[in-house]
Amino acid sequence: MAQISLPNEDTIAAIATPTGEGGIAVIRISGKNSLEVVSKILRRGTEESVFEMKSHRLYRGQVIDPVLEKVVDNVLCVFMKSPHSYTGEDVVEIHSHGGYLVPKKILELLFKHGARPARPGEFTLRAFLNGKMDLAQAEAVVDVVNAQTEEGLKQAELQLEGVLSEQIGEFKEIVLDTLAEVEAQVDFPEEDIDPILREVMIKHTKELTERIDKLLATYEEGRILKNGVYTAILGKPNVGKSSLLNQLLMKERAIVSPYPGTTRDFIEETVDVKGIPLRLVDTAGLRASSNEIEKVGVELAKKKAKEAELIIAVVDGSGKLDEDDFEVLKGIEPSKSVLVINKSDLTIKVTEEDISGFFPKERIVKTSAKLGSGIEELKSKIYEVLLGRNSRMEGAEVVITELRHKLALEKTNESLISFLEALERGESPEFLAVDLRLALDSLGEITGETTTEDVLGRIFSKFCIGK
Amino acid sequence: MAITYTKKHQVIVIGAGHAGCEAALAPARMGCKTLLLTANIDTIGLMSCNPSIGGVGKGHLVKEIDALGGEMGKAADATAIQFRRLNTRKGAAVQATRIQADRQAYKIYMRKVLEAEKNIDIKQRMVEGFLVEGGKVVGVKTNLGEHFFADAVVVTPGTFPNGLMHIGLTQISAGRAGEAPAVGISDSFESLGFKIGRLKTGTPPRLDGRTVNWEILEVQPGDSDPKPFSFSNDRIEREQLPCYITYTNEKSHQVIRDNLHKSPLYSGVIKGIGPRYCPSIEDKVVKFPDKERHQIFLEPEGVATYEIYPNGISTSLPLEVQYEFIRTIRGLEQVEIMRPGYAVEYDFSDPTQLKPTLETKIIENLFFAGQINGTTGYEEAASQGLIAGINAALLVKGEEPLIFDRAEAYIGILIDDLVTKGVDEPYRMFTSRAEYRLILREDNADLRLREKGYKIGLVKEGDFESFLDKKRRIREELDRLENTKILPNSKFNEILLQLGSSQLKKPQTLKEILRRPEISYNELSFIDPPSRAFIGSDIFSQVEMEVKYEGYIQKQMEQVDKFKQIENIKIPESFSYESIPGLSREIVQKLSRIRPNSLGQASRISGITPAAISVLMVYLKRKELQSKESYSSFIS
Repeated sequence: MAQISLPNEDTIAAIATPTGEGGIAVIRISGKNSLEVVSKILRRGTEESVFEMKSHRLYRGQVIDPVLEKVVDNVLCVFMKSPHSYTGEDVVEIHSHGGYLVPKKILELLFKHGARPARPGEFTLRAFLNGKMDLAQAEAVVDVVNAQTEEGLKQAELQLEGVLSEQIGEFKEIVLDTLAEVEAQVDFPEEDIDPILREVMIKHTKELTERIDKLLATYEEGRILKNGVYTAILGKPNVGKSSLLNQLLMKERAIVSPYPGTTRDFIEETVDVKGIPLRLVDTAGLRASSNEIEKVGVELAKKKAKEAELIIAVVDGSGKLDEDDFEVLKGIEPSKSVLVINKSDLTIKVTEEDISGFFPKERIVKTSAKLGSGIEELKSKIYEVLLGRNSRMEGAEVVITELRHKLALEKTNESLISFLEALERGESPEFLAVDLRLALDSLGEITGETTTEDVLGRIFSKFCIGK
Repeated sequence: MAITYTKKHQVIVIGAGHAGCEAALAPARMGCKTLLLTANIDTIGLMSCNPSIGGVGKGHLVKEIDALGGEMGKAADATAIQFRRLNTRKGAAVQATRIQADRQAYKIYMRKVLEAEKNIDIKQRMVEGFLVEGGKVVGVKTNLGEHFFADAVVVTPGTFPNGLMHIGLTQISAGRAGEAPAVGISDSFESLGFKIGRLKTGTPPRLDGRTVNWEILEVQPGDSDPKPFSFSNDRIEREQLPCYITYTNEKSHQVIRDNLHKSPLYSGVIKGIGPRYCPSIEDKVVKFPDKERHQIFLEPEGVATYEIYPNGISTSLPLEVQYEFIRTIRGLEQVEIMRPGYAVEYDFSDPTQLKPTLETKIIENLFFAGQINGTTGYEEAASQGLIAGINAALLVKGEEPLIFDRAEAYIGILIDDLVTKGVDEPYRMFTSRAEYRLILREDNADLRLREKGYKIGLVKEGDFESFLDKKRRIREELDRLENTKILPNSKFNEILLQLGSSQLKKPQTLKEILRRPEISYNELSFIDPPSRAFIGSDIFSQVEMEVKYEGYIQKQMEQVDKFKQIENIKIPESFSYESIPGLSREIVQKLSRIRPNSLGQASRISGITPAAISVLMVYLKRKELQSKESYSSFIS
């Protein structure tokens, strides 16, 4: 059955601004529970609750990951009460920082707390169905739905040709097989059939959940390969950050001068490191500064460092490490960083031992940005930090890159685990079937539904039924 | 020269099998003058295949028929020689009733009930065609040139339309062994524009019980405490007969393999498609070569006969081969065949040509029910007969039709599947066809449907009162469980420990205790003696199910809510899909052919995409707006 749900009944969310470079992203949530969904992840600056927001006013707040109890982003938020909104439903818009990571993270949190991904054209569709558009606009809506769906279809077709659908198809087969066993017990109690052992069912299902976990594990990497890694180059002034950037880019991009503090705004460039698109941001040098403009730059750099998925920290190897260097090193998380001891063309005074207290040895590289030496080694280190020595994708036949697919696979595993628990409790097969069917439905969100006929077909091909 | 029969009826029913009987009784009981035409009065209510009613899924249908005021459950109770409840070790949702009926007694019972109905006239006639005026059926004509007139006609011809029997490579034109097929009626379907296809079904040879070596066979007795089908019956008091079980063996399989070239199935003579779940023994041997034996149930045909129905070896092999392989079977070494097994091919009409009321889309006031719609099974036939009969009566009376959706009844699932998806093999009910299986149970069929049956006038006053009483008692017991708190004390905790359950640390309600997987009513009664009264009562499984599986039921109810939202968006019958630019030609064709009555039904048509449904939603809304606008311009 085509999966349909009516406007107003469930809450949908999507990023309303183009993905990527914009400074600000707008995440739109629509549906009668939109405030409730948002309330789970939004903390307002004041003590007042999200539910007390007045319609059409802008409020400041923080998006929180309620599980990790961590702040995801500082945001602005506006609530538009039904019917005075684009869709005519209760709409909340969250204005977050732009780029890729933050809006996606917020969206993911929303999906975890009751919203579902909006389908192409669905906001517009709802707007129409709720009477926000007149008749003349109806055709336009259809065009929007169709055009976007066609594009979606094209993508779906591409995906279908690919290995992912093959893999999902295999998963479905396994679930379908188990379901056929369970259903046969329900519908044909008097047939002389030998059901597979419970242990076998458990084993197959456990193996499947592990395979799904494996596939889920590729999401991070798949996403990294597809969307790139937001990378910050950090270091106190004049350690050669911009030269390093130029080396990685192999072109003169940043203004290089012997005077500390030359870089005050940010430069963003994408560079291919062994197949991984690094989106490099050069930052202002970090030091205690009295210069106001520079101060702002330093603050921003610190913030960028926090947001970054990868940090390349740079120190000047020709001088002794000072307070500013240690400040930099203290502020970064070694697990997502590489440390560069630069200026190896000069006499090196900094040894790995000096730093090893702060930083694991195997993450340290010596380079001369000026001569271009050590750059290849740096690239290898970056690859290692991002994907590890043994990439999880090695051995995995498929990589998932779509959030939608990730969510569907997570739901599949939830159902399978719930099935295993029910099996453990010794529930009757009709209850086991509930979870297996849900698992099939979730897989079906990726490659298309499994019908009752498929289930019956499997039963009749497996068992000789026919009293 | 046509002879016009002067008495005009409101409903004519053609055929008096399991669909026809319900289709005639329903309108008659709803006050319509009804004429039942059958080719042979002696075969009214005949069980042409196995003498058994119910089973998993099918039992659910019978309970629903009964809840609505149909006859099949009562007939089964009255004539059963064995009761067997299936899936008793599983949950209430999939437990099901099945009976072995006395074939003769069933037939006699049904005829008696029909003849007792003052609004029914019964005539033995062979109908050959329809009288149609302006796209509406107004009557039927027989092979003797007689014309009968009525406001609505229900057609239930079973396997008779162009029936062709196969025994080996011998073919005999017949609707059933020894009975002529209906030829004219099939032609008239085609000339009226119906799309006709061909299906196949089969039966096993019937055996002489005096020649079976019963001593060496495994006995399968009936239930010691039989539970009746009908909600109107409290108990069954009749002696029950056992069934017996035996198996085919490698020798039997060898005989079958050696003779496959003589099988009409495997020599390509039979063109119709047979059911996968009721394969012939030839099919079983060929498709499952690794299986060493196939189970056979030896079912008694009745108390007044030795005839035995060997369930599981339906065959169309030549008679001599039937003898040869059957005599390789344990206990059947000396067996005599009383009636040969055979396959029968017959015409059916593509059920997507029907509305959910079972009225045809091509000819108004004409209804189809039973095997003509591509189903198999008495229960499936009776369900359709009942719904067609009810809707014919409602149509005649100018009242709203009665349609069940997939969350209300198995009958709803059956009909929705037929009219939305069509069939490519004989359709049989399974519980796995139900999306909301946990709430569509045998035990709550009355809670789901009694009221509707009462409203249309099918359920009798007394039955309805006892239903209301049952409903009240369930409510009361649920309240009692919820409001009775058990305080922890050493005596109870001792009992709980013995039952393998954990001790009470703080007061708990009976409901909370009953929710524990290891505690059933039986166990509960140790702690709370009043619970004993409910064990085995008619409300017992209701209450236990509600309590124990609240979580699952809750989940399912949420799914149902979601389902209903889209199901409740109705599509007008006259809705024109051609004018919608956003839909592909293929989708327009599909929608125009099926003409779904709701957005939900549209979404179930194979090949209809979510995008198409969105587009449809937009246009339905647009239509609604337009009609509002034209209304406001009308009043201004």
